[in-house]
Amino acid sequence: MRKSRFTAPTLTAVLVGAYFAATASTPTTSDDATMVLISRNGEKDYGSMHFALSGRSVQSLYPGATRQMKLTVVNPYGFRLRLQRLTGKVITSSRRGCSPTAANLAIKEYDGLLPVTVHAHQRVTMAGSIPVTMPRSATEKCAGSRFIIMLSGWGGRAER
Amino acid sequence: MRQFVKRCVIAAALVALGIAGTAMAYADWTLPAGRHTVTANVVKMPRGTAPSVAKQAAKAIVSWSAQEVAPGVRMDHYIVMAHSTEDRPLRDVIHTIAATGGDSESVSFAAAEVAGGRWVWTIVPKFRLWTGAESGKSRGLTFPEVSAVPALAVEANAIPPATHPGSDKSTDPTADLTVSPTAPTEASTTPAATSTPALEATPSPSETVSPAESAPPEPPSATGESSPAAARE
Repeated sequence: MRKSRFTAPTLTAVLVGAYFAATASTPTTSDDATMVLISRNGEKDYGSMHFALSGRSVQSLYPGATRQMKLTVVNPYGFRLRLQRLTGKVITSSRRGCSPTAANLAIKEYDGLLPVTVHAHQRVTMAGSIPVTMPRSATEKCAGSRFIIMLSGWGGRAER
Repeated sequence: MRQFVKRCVIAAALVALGIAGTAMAYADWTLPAGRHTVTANVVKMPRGTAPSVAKQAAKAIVSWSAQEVAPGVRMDHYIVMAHSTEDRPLRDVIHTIAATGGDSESVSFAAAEVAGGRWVWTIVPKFRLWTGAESGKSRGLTFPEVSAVPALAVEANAIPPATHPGSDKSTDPTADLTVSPTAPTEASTTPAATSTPALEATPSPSETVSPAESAPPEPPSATGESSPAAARE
């Protein structure tokens, strides 16, 4: 009876302590709108695990033009982050008749050296960029439109 | 026995937490279909610039400033349209010309195209498959009937009646070579802004005449609707 009386509190304390130990390295707040949640294996959203990825808008696109989208990565963690892939995808267009497809706006893979290591709590403007190209055959209905490009990336904790 | 089971459960939980924590620490974390977006803005096609027009012999010379689709990138084609302003309007005459890349562009409308009508001109810029809005109208010019300018039908390599948007023949330097039948009087009425090689070889002292333009002159039989007041734009 005496032993069982201490077992439950001990077990609870151990579990709580283990929980805090396991989550101590994750950031606790999302401090800007550029935060992107990450998930393990791309399936389950853990919510608190993320790093910031932002891009600079591109201007003056026209048929045949290619613009380079510069990217900035912020590592909010206390460990080094190893970026392995950065990419973008057109998701919407502001004009009806101007479909958000590669026929009207093509987003290519990140043009630069990868992987890149971002040190703990560091903001890095990537040396490379993501090429954004409007094909020569883009439909006329895309004139004056605004495309929304979704950025995403893959990375992991750098080896110690 | 129960005590042993409890200890085993605690030990298993601790081991599981340790394994899970280690796995999380070294796991490859991936970004899902993202939450962060960036915009890409596309230029608008500009409206055409209203052209200036001038009469040269029985032909119309239309000129306008080059336009850009984006800073430093000029239009590649222009659609030049002649609209009849008669009570019974004639059919529009349309030339699609390739841009020369210069600061200004020009094209001539042959006498046969404009004879017997009063016309105004508009410009539509083109870039690849994109077309801008039509410009405002130029001032009007009136041309005499075809019967009044019989000799002008003999223009060498004249532009065919340009009702074919997409035909770029009018920009061929040799496509529009004619010799003004009233050259001496036309010299003072040649518009200065027409800098493309499509212009006629009016023997103005300030102009250079290419070898191709030294075709034998036509007899001066044109009516010469070329009063300076009407020809200048």
